[in-house]
Amino acid sequence: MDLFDISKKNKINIIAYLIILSITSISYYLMVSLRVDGYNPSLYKYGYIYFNGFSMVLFTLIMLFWDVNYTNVNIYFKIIIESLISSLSAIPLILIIFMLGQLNKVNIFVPLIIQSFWGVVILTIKNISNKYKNKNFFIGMFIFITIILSSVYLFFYTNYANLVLTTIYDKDIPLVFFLNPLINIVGISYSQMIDNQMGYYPVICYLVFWGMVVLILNILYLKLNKVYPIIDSSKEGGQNL
Amino acid sequence: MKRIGIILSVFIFMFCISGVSCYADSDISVNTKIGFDGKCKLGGINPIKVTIESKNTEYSGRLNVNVGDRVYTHKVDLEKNTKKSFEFAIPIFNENDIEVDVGNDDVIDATDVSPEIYSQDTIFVGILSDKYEDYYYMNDINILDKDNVQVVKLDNTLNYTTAEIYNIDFIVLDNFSTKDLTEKGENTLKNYIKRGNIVLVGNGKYAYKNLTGVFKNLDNKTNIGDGRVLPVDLENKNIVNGTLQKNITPALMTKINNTSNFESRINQIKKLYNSCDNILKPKYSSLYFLIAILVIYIFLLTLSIFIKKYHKYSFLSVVVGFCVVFYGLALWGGFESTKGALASIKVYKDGLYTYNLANIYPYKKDGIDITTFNSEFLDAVDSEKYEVDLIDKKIEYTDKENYHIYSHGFKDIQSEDITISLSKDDILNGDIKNTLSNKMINSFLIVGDTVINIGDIDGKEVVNINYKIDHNLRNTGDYNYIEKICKDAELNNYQRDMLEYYFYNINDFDNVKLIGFSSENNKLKIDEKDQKIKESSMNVFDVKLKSNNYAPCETIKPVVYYGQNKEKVNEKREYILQNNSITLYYKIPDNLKAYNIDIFTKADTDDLYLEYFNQVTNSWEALNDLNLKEEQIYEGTSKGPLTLRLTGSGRVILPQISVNGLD
Repeated sequence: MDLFDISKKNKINIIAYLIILSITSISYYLMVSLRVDGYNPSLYKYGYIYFNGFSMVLFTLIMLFWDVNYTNVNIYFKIIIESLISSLSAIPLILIIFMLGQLNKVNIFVPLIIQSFWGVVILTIKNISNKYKNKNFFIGMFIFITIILSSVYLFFYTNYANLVLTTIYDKDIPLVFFLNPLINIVGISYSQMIDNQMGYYPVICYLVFWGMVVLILNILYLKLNKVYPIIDSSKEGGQNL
Repeated sequence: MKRIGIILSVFIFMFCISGVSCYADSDISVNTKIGFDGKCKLGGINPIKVTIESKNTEYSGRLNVNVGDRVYTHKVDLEKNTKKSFEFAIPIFNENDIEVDVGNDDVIDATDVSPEIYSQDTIFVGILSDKYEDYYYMNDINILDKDNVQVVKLDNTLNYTTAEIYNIDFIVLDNFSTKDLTEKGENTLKNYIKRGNIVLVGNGKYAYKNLTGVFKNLDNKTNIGDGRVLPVDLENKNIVNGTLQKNITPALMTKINNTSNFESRINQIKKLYNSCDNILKPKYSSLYFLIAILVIYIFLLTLSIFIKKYHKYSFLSVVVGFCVVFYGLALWGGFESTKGALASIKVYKDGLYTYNLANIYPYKKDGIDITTFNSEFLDAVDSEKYEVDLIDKKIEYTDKENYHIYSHGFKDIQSEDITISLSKDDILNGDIKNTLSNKMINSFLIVGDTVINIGDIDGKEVVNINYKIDHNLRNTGDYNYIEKICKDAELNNYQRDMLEYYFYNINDFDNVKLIGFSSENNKLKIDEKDQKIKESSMNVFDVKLKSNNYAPCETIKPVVYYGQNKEKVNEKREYILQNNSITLYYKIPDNLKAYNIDIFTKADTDDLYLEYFNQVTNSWEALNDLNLKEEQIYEGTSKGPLTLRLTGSGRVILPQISVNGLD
């Protein structure tokens, strides 16, 4: 089926993503972790956490340049599958961290699922706003607010409420901040490697919230445009009656 | 009549409630024998034999030996009406009661074992005889002015491990049919002697019985390895005293004068943590290998853009394929298994003595059991929730943490001898062979007070050396000694840690050895499955020095008696005197007819006074120049080891001697 067929431009996006990730992580090994004398597994644990955060940011950037002009396919499944494939293509790099640091097995799919969910959100918004002008401004602002602004507000809030945080998935942080995918991914990686106070609860909230957002956006889009989604969205209007 | 009846019943009643605690309806009974016929030495590993008997019921549970607050357990499965006995050894570090009980959560039967615990500096004389009582008079002998002697009965089968029999300072064999020893007993006896210990064999009226088997045709004193067998007339106490004193070995002198450091040897194994962990450090070669596969991955992905017309799913299949390949590599490298590393000190001298530290990093959250191979004793270090089984050599951990296990063992293997010869003008010549099949790195040779750097030796390779020894370690204290060796042999931090552990915690009596570092594969049993782990070891080989009647400086090491002070002395080569005196014993080999002894020492102050003991006049005589000539040598060594006494205050490097003998 054409469902699994990724367009050439998108393949180049994935390859660029992988190349930048590989170069960064290899430089980390060569310049930081292998230079340390002795056995230091915490370096690799933190390496895993930084890797997930960094790949989250890079992934967002890639998704911005993604080509959402699909033809002859069910757009929803296509978006999900493309996002999944691009996230999961980084699995070999994650496994290298585990092999070098002799770390114990954790479920590496959870941060990748969070990442691909975020990819689905961005692609859906891109797809919906395809025919509006100023779409790049809105997408850019949306990403900025969700990732960067909410992190800044988290910082303000910890000072306002005099919080003492021992870990990222801390009980004292209001759940709304965990809708930020960056905080969520870094938090789940940290809880897998080091300490865990809230289990998978923030992940579930995140998935439920963004799942509902995607659903609502798509329904609104259908209702407003009364267009059956499979037809090429570059055409105006509805079916030829 | 009535009164007699009342008195009798009172007696019977008192008899019943006194003595042994009994548990009602016990179909399981446990019986314990500990020590050498009930006698144990503090600070050592003492044998224990537990017999469990079941009547009319089957039993499946645990045997627990409580020594103070340490518990040693073992799983027990008994059929009806069977008796099972377990022989093992437990360390006794404090004077506390030992309780042996059988049960799961509730105790079914227990016995309170009160062994006679003797202090660490008691001299245990082991008697191998059919009539042990005849030898009680041995309690009165004295060796090197120590008379804290205790006679103990040895088991006729000599079924002891090396650590257990280490408690016995020397053995007396009389009225004993030596040929009845099993092969295992013979080996235990021979290895005991080889390690530098003494066996006195009676050649009086029981000679016909004693001098059979291993000691057939023994007519005068024989050297076996580092120790000796002395046929002696055991009826005369003075003859026994004199023979023992004249033929004493460095090993026996060390045991008498120094307290056992067994407990500190277990605790100090923490020094090897870093060397052990270093095995798990990732290597550059594995990184380059993974980078290569990563490059292939990205290359194939780019390629799949261009071959799209041949295969539609090439991109996807490359992604999925490489995820599987990397996962397979991770599994092969130990992704889902417990990781472990082993650091060990291996001493090759008439057998292989190993002292190991195992670091285990567990994978599952609940506890695991770890069984070591080829060990005689093991203990957990720095851990809290664990149970030690000394019979199966297994530790069960009930909590997830990082585990550190100390173990030591002995393997009766014979390795090739390494021999080098030394001429009178200090030229060392010979072939050094690496008897291992692995490469030895950073190896060096210690000949008395000289360290010679050899470098890397491949497996089974022979290196020829021709070197003038330059006494570069002479008059160095502890720190400088190790520092000089590390600098000359270019040792890194981990090798230095191992060398320090060996230097401070493992006694050796001769000072000509080849030391090298190697890494090999070993295995542990984790949760009943064999698992290969890497081992990094320091190998110490004994080297035989052939020199024409010349013992260079520091090949005859002093054994020091620090006096009655209870503080343990940590330094090995130096001492700080505080207006007191220490006694040093030097055992000069019999075949070296010494005519000149030079003494080397260094002191920080002038307030020191050195004398030697004249064994002919039984008095101390001053030594004004650091030299002993022929007559003084005869007076100093006619009846025993050369004895020096150092008095004063200040820091002094312990005096070392070099001996020239007649050709």
